[in-house]
Amino acid sequence: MRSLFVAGALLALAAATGPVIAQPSGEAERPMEQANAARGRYLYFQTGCYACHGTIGHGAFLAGPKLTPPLMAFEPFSAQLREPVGRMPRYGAETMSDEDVADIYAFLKAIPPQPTPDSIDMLKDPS
Amino acid sequence: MTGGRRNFLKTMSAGGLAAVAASGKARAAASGGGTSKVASSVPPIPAAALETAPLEPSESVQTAPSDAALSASARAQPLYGSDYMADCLQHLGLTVIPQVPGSTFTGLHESIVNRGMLREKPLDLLTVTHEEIGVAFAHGYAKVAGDATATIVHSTVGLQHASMALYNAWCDRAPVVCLTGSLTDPESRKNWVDWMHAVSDGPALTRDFTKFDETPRSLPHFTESLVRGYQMAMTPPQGPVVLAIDLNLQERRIAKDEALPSLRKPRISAPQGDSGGVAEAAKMLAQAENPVLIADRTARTAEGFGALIELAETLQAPVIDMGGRLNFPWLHPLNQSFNRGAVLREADVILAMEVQDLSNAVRPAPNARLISLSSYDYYLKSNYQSFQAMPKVDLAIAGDAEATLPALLAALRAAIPRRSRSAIADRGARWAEDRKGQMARARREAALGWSIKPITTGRVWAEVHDQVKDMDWAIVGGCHFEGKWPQQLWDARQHHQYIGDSGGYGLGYLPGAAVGAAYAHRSEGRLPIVFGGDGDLLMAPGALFTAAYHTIPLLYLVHNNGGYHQEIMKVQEQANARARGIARTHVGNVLPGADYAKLGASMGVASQRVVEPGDLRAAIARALEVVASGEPALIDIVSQGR
Repeated sequence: MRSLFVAGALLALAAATGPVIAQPSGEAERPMEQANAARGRYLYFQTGCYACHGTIGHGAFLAGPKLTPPLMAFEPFSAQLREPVGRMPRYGAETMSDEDVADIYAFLKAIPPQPTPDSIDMLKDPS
Repeated sequence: MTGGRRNFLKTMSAGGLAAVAASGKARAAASGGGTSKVASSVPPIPAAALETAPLEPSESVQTAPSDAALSASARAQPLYGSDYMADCLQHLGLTVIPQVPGSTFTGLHESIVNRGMLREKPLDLLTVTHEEIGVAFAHGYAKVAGDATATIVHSTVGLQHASMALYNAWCDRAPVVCLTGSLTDPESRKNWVDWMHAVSDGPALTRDFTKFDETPRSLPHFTESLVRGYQMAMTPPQGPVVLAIDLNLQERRIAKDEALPSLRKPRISAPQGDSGGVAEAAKMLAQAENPVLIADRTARTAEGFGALIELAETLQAPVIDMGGRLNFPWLHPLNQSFNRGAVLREADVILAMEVQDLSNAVRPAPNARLISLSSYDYYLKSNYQSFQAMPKVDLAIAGDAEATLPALLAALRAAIPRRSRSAIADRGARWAEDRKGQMARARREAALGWSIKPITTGRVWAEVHDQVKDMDWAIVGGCHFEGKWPQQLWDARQHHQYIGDSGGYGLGYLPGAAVGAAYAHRSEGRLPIVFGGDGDLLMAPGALFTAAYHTIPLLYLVHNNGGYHQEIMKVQEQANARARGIARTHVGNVLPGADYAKLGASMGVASQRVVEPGDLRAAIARALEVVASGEPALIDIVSQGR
């Protein structure tokens, strides 16, 4: 099922933008600190987070709010997935395991710092 | 606006893009180097069709006969009903006519090309490839020109194609005069196709979402119906009208003693709210501690735009622009459109002007007193629910907001006590400070993902803005699926710089409307820009053909997010709510593999494809050179979903 999705929806978004995201191997049971950011990235796309929140969690108007920066603490992040507030669809344990949630969080945490407007000429404060 | 920002088409260099602009040069050569004295309305016959070298335009095309000469020859040669109709269109100023040819209006077609297009103030017949594009063209044109124009569609099948676009114009309160062919008399139907294209009451199809329709029975009746239709279309609330024109009436010979049309183009004076209601509204606003202004389709003209600025500054009240038109400068300190919730939670009095979805717009302020000033109250139809949910209004003033604003301003100035001036100034200073924070936040968010692929919509808009900010630019499509970045970061100070969106929220509007709006901007030498969805473009790609064939300059940026992104999110939401997973939710929603640069090139539009964010700058520069040369240019930008 996952391979089907990769062949379809992900390709649509990432058309001509680079290699298809490979599925890293997951570990059945491991502590939170060992969350797998690479697998989280895969899951971020596979479970459709990117559609509303953008491919690096930067958010979008009339879609989903930005997730990072700053990234919220893990507990409220997880709670929002399980019992969302607002229009966010619910991601229950039947479709997303606790490890999946931890890996997605690790992916978001690993996103490199983004440029500030002052570092981009055309976004500098005109005043 | 400085002189340097105006006349974009005249001032930018046209060199350096020989390869991509070759189509335009070929056209110029084919049309005799653009020496025709008749308006630009006669595109050359394609060489492929001639199977020979392009011909020089004939003398009859090069030199327009005077109206007097035409009138004289009219009496020497037979005239027909459709000549009369073409004259009516010209007299009424319905001169820009996009159409897909159809056998139920061949008479009028012939009269336009052989009479109407040869007048001193000629009609301009444009080829479009779908009736939906024709109506959308007229819709976009009207919003820029501030006046209606006509489109002609075939009977039955043509009007059916046009119907969605008419619904958009209806919802967007835009004036469109749609003529549809008709074969009323069964005796004149020559074969089964004619019967298929005949209908007893053609305009019934669109009657639920047009302001007026008629099937004229005589030529004087046509004149009357056209003027009435124009007047109805242009009187706020503006909207589309349909006239069915019988082919027999078009083909009928006019007797020598019959009068040619004589009509006057009425100047439309919009209805103003009554003085009692205006005085009461002024009092409520003057006494309010936190008044808020909400605008949507409020400013139709530069005067309306200026009046709203004056109103806001008089009150130092925040303005929420819902974006149906450009109602208020985007970077004005009182523009609080992106701070709506906070502004409305403080509001005690709200003045809503021509707001479509008013109930939803004021949801954060359930206890504020609400004044509605709108022409919507004048005219309503029941079947289609475009009138939206019923808001709880305290004072409903039926009147065109733009026409009423001067009276409201005068009443307001008289109603504001001198002792309130200090508090009013403080209020404005507070919102201005808040606005600075909003803009800083917008810049921070536009920087997010600056170098990622797919390219962010924030970067696309910023890159375009950086190159056009000193030109007389105009955005000719909605921006809400493309991040609404211009509304946050572009310095729009003139009413014509934005025209809102479709109205009916259906795909297929944007390509035709953008080209129609660009046509209207062409005579002003402005730079029209649109950044629109791939799904929208695929619904009506033939609009690109019209832009290329009729040399309508337009910078068309394709938001290529690979699918119907709204529905990708919605179906995903459904699947998650049902705990079924999203693995299959892309089915039916994605558009992988489409190459819009090739699509544009196939229509004669200079086109490029950009995947790398670092390539955007050069691609935009190349495209701007093409547009400056008077041609359309397209950039297919592989982008984020939103």
